[in-house]
Amino acid sequence: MSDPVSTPTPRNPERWKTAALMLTIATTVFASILAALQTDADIRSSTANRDSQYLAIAGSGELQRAGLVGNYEFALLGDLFKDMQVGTVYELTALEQQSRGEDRLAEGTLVLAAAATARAERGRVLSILYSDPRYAPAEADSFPDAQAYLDDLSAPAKDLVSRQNAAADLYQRWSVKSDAYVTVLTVLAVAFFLFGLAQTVQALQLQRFFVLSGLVILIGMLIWTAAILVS
Amino acid sequence: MQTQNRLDSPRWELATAIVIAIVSLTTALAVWWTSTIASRAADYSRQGLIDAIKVQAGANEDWRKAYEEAASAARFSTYAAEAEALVASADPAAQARGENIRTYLLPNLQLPAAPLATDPVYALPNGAYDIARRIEDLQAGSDLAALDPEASFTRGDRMASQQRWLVIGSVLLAISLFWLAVAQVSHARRRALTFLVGLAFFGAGVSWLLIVGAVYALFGGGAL
Repeated sequence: MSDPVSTPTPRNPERWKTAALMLTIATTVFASILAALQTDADIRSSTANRDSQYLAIAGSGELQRAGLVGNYEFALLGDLFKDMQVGTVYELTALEQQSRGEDRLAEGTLVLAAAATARAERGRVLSILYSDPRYAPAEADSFPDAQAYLDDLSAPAKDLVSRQNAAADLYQRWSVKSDAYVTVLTVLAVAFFLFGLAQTVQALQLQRFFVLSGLVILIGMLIWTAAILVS
Repeated sequence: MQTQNRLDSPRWELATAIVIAIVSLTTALAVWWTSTIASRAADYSRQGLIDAIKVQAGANEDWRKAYEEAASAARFSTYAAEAEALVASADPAAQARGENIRTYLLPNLQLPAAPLATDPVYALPNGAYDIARRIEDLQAGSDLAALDPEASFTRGDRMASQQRWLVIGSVLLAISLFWLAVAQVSHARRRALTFLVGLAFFGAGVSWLLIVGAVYALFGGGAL
């Protein structure tokens, strides 16, 4: 009578199940940390999004303010130039009248010139382009520095818009990170599934296949997470 | 051998199950707390944005009104200058025209310019108008001045910061839950070890949550 044929017993038949258990623990810890990172990224993106909206509101208000101020100042400047020219025209007219010997008419025209000049002088007082030394003309017959005024007027709006753009970019960056973490978490669920399968199947080859497949996914997700962190 | 039997007894399994239930309940409470804090943070941010829109709309209206008055005041002021020049002239007809401008035109021009052109507090020594002060007065008189979006944002940021720290506590509890589950399916010494690890994580998680809660309740976040 011969001995029954015996199959070789593996040295440690539980090793793949143990590996699956340890990897499940590692994946759980990793998923927990990932959830915390995702929450952090989500909070940062929400804050940047809020800042971006707040700055957009402030920027639109500043644009409206600059528009109102600019309209007022340039309407004033237009009236001022008109009154200055009207005064000059009346003075020239008075000179012509005087040259023709129409002295009484010339006197009346000079009164009109004085009235227009008085309006222009008051306009100079009211206009920031003539009263503020930053923009006022250096010479009596030169023009105010309207470009410098416009630059100063639009500077706060430009600053707000650039800050709003920066906040929007920041939101985009954190939002992409947050979404990427969610994707990693989702893929990790597959790793969990594979490790779970490894715990339940009996065939050693299948246990090894599921453990190694889950491990590949876990390593891939670790690398992806590191890439997200440094991006 | 006796210790091993005790660790594998149904009594021990029941005890582990009860601890798992307690940790599950604590985790649920921690997640609920974190979620409440996150919700309040979002509420504060939302309130801040609503307030910001209201404040900006009010400011826009104040600016519009102030510059509407300023344009009318400028018109009034230049006509007043013209009237003065006409009255000061030697021409009787011009004097009469100047007087009539003062009597009939200027009061009508002054109406839409009020109070910028009528209230002496807005009159500057050089004859111009203090538009900035008029805007300040308009904004001070508005109910919207009491709204403070930045304060809402600060409160929201503090809540978000607390949420961030609370999540770490929930993570510790989740890890504890896992180890306790391992303890439930393990045997003998391995069961005792994993049970203790689970309890340690549970203790750390609960302590962490209590410390974070206390720091935010007492110091409003402090260095956190």
